[in-house]
Amino acid sequence: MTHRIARLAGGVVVLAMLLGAVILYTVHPVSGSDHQDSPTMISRPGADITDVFVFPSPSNTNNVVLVMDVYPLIPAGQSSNPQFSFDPAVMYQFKIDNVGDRKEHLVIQFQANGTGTGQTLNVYGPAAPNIQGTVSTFVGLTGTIPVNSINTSPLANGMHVFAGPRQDPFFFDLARFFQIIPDRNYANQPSSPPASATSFRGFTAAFNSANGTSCDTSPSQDFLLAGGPGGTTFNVLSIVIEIPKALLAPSGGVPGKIAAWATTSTTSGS
Amino acid sequence: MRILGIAPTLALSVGVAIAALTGCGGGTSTAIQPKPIPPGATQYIQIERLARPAVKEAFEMFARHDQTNRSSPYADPILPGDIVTFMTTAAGRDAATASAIQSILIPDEMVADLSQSASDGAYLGIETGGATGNKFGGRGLDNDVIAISLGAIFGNTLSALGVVPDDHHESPCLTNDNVPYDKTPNAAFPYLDPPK
Repeated sequence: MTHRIARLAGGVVVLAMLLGAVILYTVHPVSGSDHQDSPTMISRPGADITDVFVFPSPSNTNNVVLVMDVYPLIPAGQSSNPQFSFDPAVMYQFKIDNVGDRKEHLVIQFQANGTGTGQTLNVYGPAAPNIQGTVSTFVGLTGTIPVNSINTSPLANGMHVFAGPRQDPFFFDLARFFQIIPDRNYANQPSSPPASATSFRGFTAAFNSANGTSCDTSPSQDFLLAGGPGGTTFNVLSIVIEIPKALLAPSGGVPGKIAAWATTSTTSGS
Repeated sequence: MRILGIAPTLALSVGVAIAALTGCGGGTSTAIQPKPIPPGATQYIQIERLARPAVKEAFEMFARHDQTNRSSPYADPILPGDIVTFMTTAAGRDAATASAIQSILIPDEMVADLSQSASDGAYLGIETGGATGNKFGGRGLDNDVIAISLGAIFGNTLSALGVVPDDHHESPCLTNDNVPYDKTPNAAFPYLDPPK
């Protein structure tokens, strides 16, 4: 009897945590920006791209790193919650121009298998897309990786891939931005209130003196922090690939300028 | 010269940098010859797109984001016009400044030069001829993309770089959100910090 009560109590605790996470996710006041930037993304957060990064590999000068962050506002302590998984119905995709016409000539695609603990991610490409434009089909499979596992071994083509929860790297006084342009806050749709601020925060008296302005000198605040600097309260799901630059070179050419963007797609278009 | 919103590094001609955006990797510009779609291949429809940070959010009304999200950056029916509209109305800039911003941001793709040696990405580095840090471009984890963007939209970044004449319609109190990089640099793959 005691064991049953203990299991029931544990289940109640887990349920409360899940409900808390759902409530926090749907009513957090600082939603928006590239986080939750359309009703479609709010209804399918696993497809919501928050940031894209492209930078030289800090550990190998022959490689470049591409990052796609998705699923915004995962609360601290909830990254192992199966609710916050890559969406198996979504095709995650990097599209890359490497010839200079600003259209995609290479794609790298991903799709999750299952959810929660044990989720894996299929990796496709890099390869030429089957179709240019907003409709896609999967190119050839390159490999499959476990989600949330830092594997130091590359795939057969030399790519290192990580997929899993990470701290959200974005930093911005989003709360003040929404006071300056209230329309951009999803929570204000469909009729946003008038602007309630005309200045960002965090300016100095010296700045005002030098420019003859009266900009707001009250402290700015990164929207991801609660109570000030020192910690990040929200996480995202990250797809990080470190790829030899040679794999992004045009046919018969050498690695040069690329133009990249990230997309998410579903079979239903919703 | 004091540049609102960006630390002056190399004040090169951004006009040259903008023209150089069209050259990539030494290959030729060719349309893709469509491959035969394997029978039964499942087709996926795009519902979200992102490259440069906060571009949709700065220039487009919330209700219009979905149309951009469902388009290719080279065929966006909304963003090019909305950039000019925002710049000349909400931001109060002149037509030349608005056109310059449009030229830099359209198509909305993250541009990087893999032939350049650099220790980090530099957001809009290619578009500004290296003024934001280097000519690798792309975007590093610690790049202050908001300050760079606000400086161009509301400050004198473009005139300081010689792209357009100063229209003297800057809004100094909007040129920076004054939130510095506040994460921990991580030198080991996957380079982003473990979750909280």
